[in-house]
Formats: sequence, C-alpha cells, structure tokens
Amino acid sequence: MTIVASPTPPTALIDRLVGIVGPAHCLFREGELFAYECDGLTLAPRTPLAVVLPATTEEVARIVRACRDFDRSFVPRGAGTGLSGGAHATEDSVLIECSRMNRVLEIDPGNRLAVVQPGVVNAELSQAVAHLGLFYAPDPSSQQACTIGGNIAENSGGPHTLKYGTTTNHILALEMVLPDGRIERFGNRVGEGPGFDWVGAIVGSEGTLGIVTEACVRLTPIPEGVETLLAIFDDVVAACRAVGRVIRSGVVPAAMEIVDRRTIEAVEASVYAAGLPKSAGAVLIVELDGNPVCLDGEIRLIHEACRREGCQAIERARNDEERTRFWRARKGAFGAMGRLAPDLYVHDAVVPRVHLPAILEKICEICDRYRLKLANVFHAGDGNLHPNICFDKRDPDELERVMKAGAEILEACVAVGGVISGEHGIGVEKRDYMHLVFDDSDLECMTRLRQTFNPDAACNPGKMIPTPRFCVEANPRARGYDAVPIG
Amino acid sequence: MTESPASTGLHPDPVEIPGAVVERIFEPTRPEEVGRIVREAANKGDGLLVFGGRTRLHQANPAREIRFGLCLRGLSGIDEFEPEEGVLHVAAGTRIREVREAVHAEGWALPLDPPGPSSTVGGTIASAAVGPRAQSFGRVADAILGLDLVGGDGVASRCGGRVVKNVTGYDLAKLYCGSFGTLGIVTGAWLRLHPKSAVRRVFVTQPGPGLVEFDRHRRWAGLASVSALVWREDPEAGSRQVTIELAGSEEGVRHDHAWLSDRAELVEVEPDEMDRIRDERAAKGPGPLALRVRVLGTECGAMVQRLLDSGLAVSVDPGPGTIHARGRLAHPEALLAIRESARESGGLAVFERLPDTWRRELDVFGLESGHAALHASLKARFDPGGILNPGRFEAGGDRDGV
Repeated sequence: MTIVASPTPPTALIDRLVGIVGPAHCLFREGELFAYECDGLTLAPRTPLAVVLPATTEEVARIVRACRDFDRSFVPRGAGTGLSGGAHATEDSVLIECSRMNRVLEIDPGNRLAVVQPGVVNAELSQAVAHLGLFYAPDPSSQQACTIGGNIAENSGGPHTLKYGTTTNHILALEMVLPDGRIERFGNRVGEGPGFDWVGAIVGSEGTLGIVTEACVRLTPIPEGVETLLAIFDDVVAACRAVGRVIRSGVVPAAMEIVDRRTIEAVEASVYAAGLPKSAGAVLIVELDGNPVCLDGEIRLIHEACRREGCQAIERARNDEERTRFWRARKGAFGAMGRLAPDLYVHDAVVPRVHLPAILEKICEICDRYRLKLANVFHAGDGNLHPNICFDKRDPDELERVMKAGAEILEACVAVGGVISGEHGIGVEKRDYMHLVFDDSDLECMTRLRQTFNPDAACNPGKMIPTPRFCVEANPRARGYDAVPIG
Repeated sequence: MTESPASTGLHPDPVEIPGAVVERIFEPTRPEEVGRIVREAANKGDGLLVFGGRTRLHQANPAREIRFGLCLRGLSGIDEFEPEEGVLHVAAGTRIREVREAVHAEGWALPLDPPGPSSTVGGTIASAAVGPRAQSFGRVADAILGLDLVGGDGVASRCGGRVVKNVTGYDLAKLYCGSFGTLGIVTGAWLRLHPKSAVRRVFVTQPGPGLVEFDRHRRWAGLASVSALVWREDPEAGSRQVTIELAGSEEGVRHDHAWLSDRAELVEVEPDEMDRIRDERAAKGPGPLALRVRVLGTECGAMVQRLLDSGLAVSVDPGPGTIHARGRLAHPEALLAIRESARESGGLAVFERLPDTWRRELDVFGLESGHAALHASLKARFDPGGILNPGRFEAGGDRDGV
C-alpha cells in the first residue's frame, strides 16, 4: 500500500489558517500530519494538506471561507474513530479537527437537555450529568474517545439503541457552518422547528452538508432498575433464534448483544477475560432497565425465550461487578481480537431480525470459502451485524480475499431486505456499494439534498454518494478515485 | 392529463381549502398511476393538491395555482406485515385506524396517534401529526423505517429501508415527514411497531387551579406507565380536568396507579377516553381559532396560563410540552405575540385554524426567514415545477412570520 505524500502546501493559505487559529493549532509540516491520514478505516490512508484545530464557531467559519478563497476542499473530523472513512481527507484538502471545541456550554436538568460543542467526548457528557440522575443515551463502543460532533455526523448507535434509539433521536437543535462559510442554526430546544426537519437531515449526513459547531442534545433519566443476563448457547444460530423469541414476546430490552465462539476464545485469552465456559458456542447478553417492579416479569420472559432455544445456562448479574464482567465479553471483544491477527476489518450491516440465523450461517460460509478468520460480535436486537474479519494487510492475496468476502456479505444482507450500514456510515468504504440498496432515482434524491447545502461538494468530497459514472455502470464492485485500494 | 374515473367531471365531493376549491380530483389506485399523473401535471405546470383523509387540509398556508386534486385514499392496504419482526409496509391512503386494528390483533401497537378518525398513513407522515401519546410513541418520523415516494418530476424513489437500524445514506424520510407533501408524494411506508401493552387503564382527576398545581401534574407524565396525560381547561365553561392513561405490564400499571392514588382522587373511565380526547382536537370549534404551541416543559405552565388569560380553552400534553388552544382572539397581533413568546420559550406556535381574513396576514407555520433560501433551494430541487401543494408550506410575501 502506498501512502501518498502531501504536496507542498500553498504558503498563502497556510499563513491565513495560522492567522485564524494560531501556529500551535495549524499543522502542515511532514510528520505532523501522520496521525490524520485516516480515521478508524485504516485501509486508504491519505495525508491532508493541513490540519487546523479551531476553538470557536467563528474560527470554523473563517477556515471554511479561507479554503473557499483558495479553492480547497475541507473535511470535518471529530476524534477520528469512525470506521467508514468519513473523515478521510485528500491530499489537497484541509482537515478541520474539532477536538478543541470540547466544552459543555449549558445543562438544563429541568428540561433534560444540554448544549455542547462538537468536540465533547461522548462518555464525558454522560459523566458530566450523572450527578443530576441523567445520561446521554447513544453509547457507541468508542464512547470513551468519540465525540458528539462525530456521532452527529454518523448518526452513531451503540448497544443500547434497541431501546433508546440512535443519535438522531437525541439531537434537538444544531449550529452549523455551511459550506459557504455562513453560520446557521437549525431546530429548537423542543426538537420541533417550523419548516423542514433540517436537524433530522443533517444528523447522519457524514459531514457532507456542513460542519456542526454546537448541538442541543436530549438527556435521559438514568433508569431506576437495571438487570443484566448472560445466556450461554451451543451455537450462534440458537442465540439468534432466542433473540427473535424475545422480540415476539413484547419485551423491549435496553440491549441484546451476541458474542460468538471465536470472539469468546479471543476474549478469554486476553486481559478482558470474563470467565465464560469453554463450551460456549455463543453468549447472548440481555440488559433490561426501567421500573424495578416490571423487571422480574421481563426476566421470566427472557428465560423462557432462551430455554426454548436450548440455552446451556442463564446467569443474572447480582451486582455491578458481575454486570461489568458480563459486558467485558462484549466491550473487550475488539481489543481481544487484536490477538488473532494484525488487522481487523469491522463490517457493519443490518438484516431483518428474523433472518439473523440464516445470514450468520451464510457469512460463515463466505468466510470459510475465502479462508478467512471470522469473529462475530453484534447488536442482535437491532439485527445489526458486525462480522469482524481478522487478516494481515501486508498479505495482498489475503487483503483481496477480505474485500471480496466483504462484498459478498453485503450482497447477502441486502438480498434478505437488509442494508449496508447500521451505524458506521457509508463514507468512502461503502460508497460504491450504495447501488446494492438504492437505484439511480433514490441516489438522485440524496444528491439533491447534498447540492442544496454543498453544491460544489467542497465540504467532505467523495463521501456517501457514488459518482454518476458508477450510477450508470451500476457496478457494486466499481471503485472510485479515492476508494479503498485492493492490494 | 391521464384518464381517471374522477378526472372526467367535477368530483361529487370537492375539496375546499384556504385559497381554493378543487373540483377535479384524481384517485389513483397504484403508485405508478401517481407517477403518471404527476409527470403530466409537471409537463403542463398544473398545481396539485395532494391529500388523504382530508383531516388536516385546513392546516396550511393558502394554496396558490392549484388546478387538480390528487386523492391517495385509493392506495390502500397493508402490503406486508411481519409479526415476528414488528414491522409492516402499508400504502399511504390506508386509514390509521385500520392499521392499528390489524397490528393489535397480532400483539403490536402502531406508534402513530394523529387526531381525527379519518387520518391516513400518508397524511400523518406529511403533516407529522401526533396525539397525546407522543410522549410514549415519539415523533412520527421515529416510526418511519422507509418511504416510497413520487417526486415533483413524477419519478418514483425510495428512502430508508425495512430494518430497524439504518444509516445507509441520508435520512431523507426526516425531510419528507412534516413537509406537507411539498417535496414528494408518499405512496407507501415501512413502519416499526411497538409491543402492545398488556394493560391499558384511563383515569380522570380534578386538579386545582394555578401554576403549582399544573407543574405537579406535569411531573406525573414522567411515570414509566403513563402513556398519555392531558390537562384540559376551559375558562369560559369553568372546567378543568386531567386525564391519565396508564399502559404497560400489569405490575407497572398497578404500581403507578397506586402511586397516583396516593396523590389524587382518580376516577376510572372508558379505556378509549384518550382516543376521544385526541380526535376532539381534529374537530372544528369552539371558536374560529385553533393553535398548537410547543414550549419547554418548564415553560409550559406559564404558557398555559397566558392562553387561558386570553380566553382560549386548552388541551395540554404536559409531557412533550404541547398545548392545543381554541377559541377567539380579537386581533391577529395577539396570535403573533403568542408565537413570539413560544419562540422565546424554546418552541413554536402553529396556527392550525384561522379565520379566512387572517390567513392572508399570517404564516400558519411561522417559517423561519433565515432558512428561506435553503427552503426554496430544496423545494426547487425536489419539485422543480413547483406543482406539489404550491403555496401551502411556504411563507408568502404578504404574510408576516414574525
């Protein structure tokens, strides 16, 4: 793989950017940019022209206007934890990194809302309001590092979206610098502005409509009671069937997560060991929360659903320590998988939950056929799969097999009514697979929205929507100018 | 224009809307026919009034240059229902009531609760209309997984999907929802269902007057089993009542009922009482005015008091901070002052019914002038001929949006 070096940056643009944010917050020298060549998708690194770290909305607007004056595109970035390349820059673009805009500006406990800057770390927001009995519900696995701005761009989810929804359900109003440098506010504190639902359209737009500089977010009361169950199954298919039974029972757990045998093996051999039995083919973690008087009845229904699918055993966490141990199997999975291979391709697709058992078997078959190591840890309650393919990107043949298997997995998910991303976004990673889900007229409508805000695609170019060339070719394997390279 | 039974003559049931009476109405029965009708209208520049159950036709700005009506009631029925999955696909003209009954039979609840017994799925999505159960159901957009549409150019498209979690592309459904059919015509929708509650019980209680009493009851809306809580007060009739619907598991409802009983004298009423209160909001009168005000929860009591002091009757959902007010005001300026006050309280005011003479002076929605260019640009891209409900979701030059 080749990392394309940044060309010599134009001095006049750099001078102007330095004039806006100061020399300490404008990076443009070789070596300074290394950390910004990609986000969590490490397959297509590219070094940006410069990285600027603004501290205020006004600075963001001035940076955008400077980029426009010098005819340069610009790319917003939060903590860089995204997994679809949504924050990948190109060699001639400026990366606008929002981590310095990290203040919680206001907390209104009476109305359960907070106003935050985009660089506030997800978990830190929950910590900041915990003493008020509140939390910020979206909890992506990277919540210790990822920022609210990035969450808004990707409409991030997490294990507890089954009950609490994704980021879009928790954003009331936004301030955004438009791609022409104007500052606009959308929505209001009740979450219903007059006119079009601009906030709803901006959340999940992957930074292609502008740069969010402030957000009014909804806070949620910390539930009075929480119960966590760990059910052990012989195989992952039985665990999936149990999920279907739970859904049919009418219980809405806060989370339902499945960890498969290979992941369990990796976790148990790592510092995240949760004490799971070696015989476990899969574990299902179910978390229930709400009014404590209701939870016993719900636990009975979960037991019934799991027993009917032949689970080996069900444990109920007796205290927070045990709850943490149960979740360790899930939350430590990605770290533990580092033991299996140098690289990990974390896929993200969603299927109707009734198809989970069959699609899991299909994914295993695909990976076996391509001789790849597969580990599954996923949000079963939402039907949101995360097949994790372990590989070594230094092996071009293996990398090619990874990409081919990934494409087949997406095709298989779409074939049963699924989609190609549940929470990681499209970015550059899946842009050219959008045809699997949408036809040209569907994509044309998306293009119309983008053009309304970002007519010349100067803001985060090359993301989400395939170029017209591919619309014509309708070839899901066709790859764009800045696509993920194979080999 | 495409031949259609209703297009050859005047419709027996013409539609009267602010700004127009529409007598020539198309009634397609398939989405492809919708596309054909829209394409022909676009070619000729004929404005179309798109509607379903006619419940919210009065809730928009005056129409401009509307030539034909396009009634979607003919697109009816549940095409796919997956009880194992809790999702369904339904045609836009299907009555909400029909869908509700169909899913109830399989142990599910439709989380759409718009006022009006004739409300259709498409009309509910177009107007984003919610009812008293919004505090437990959420917004209309929250129930939408995917939409089938016909654009202003007559081209069919889809957005979203049928799965319960999805970030594949822009969330266009959010834009279409509540856009009053001005960006595209919804012909079908994938909706997510909620589990049906095992128990539903409704109680009424008589609260005392004043802000402290209002806020006390407002906090009850936060109980886990309270699916809806409505405070109704009419200064003219001197009446005041709180209606509380409890729904959920037997244990949960019993627990919250006991808690409430310790704090108020509850009288149990028919379990469909909340439906009656909801539908009452879609009916005409009393008085020529109806407005919907949303404010922050902590500001709700003060706004209610202000509306009562103006002589308006209120039906309030304190949970989400939604106030429905009806009656009579002396001047349109009084409405604008209410809107300004709602904005200062973090919310908005929509004038759902107005005397005709006031309509020309007031913007029903209070569209924000700061977004006018974006609004116009988006509309022009999705409906280049400007034929979908022209005028109805835009602030005209002669109206004052404050």
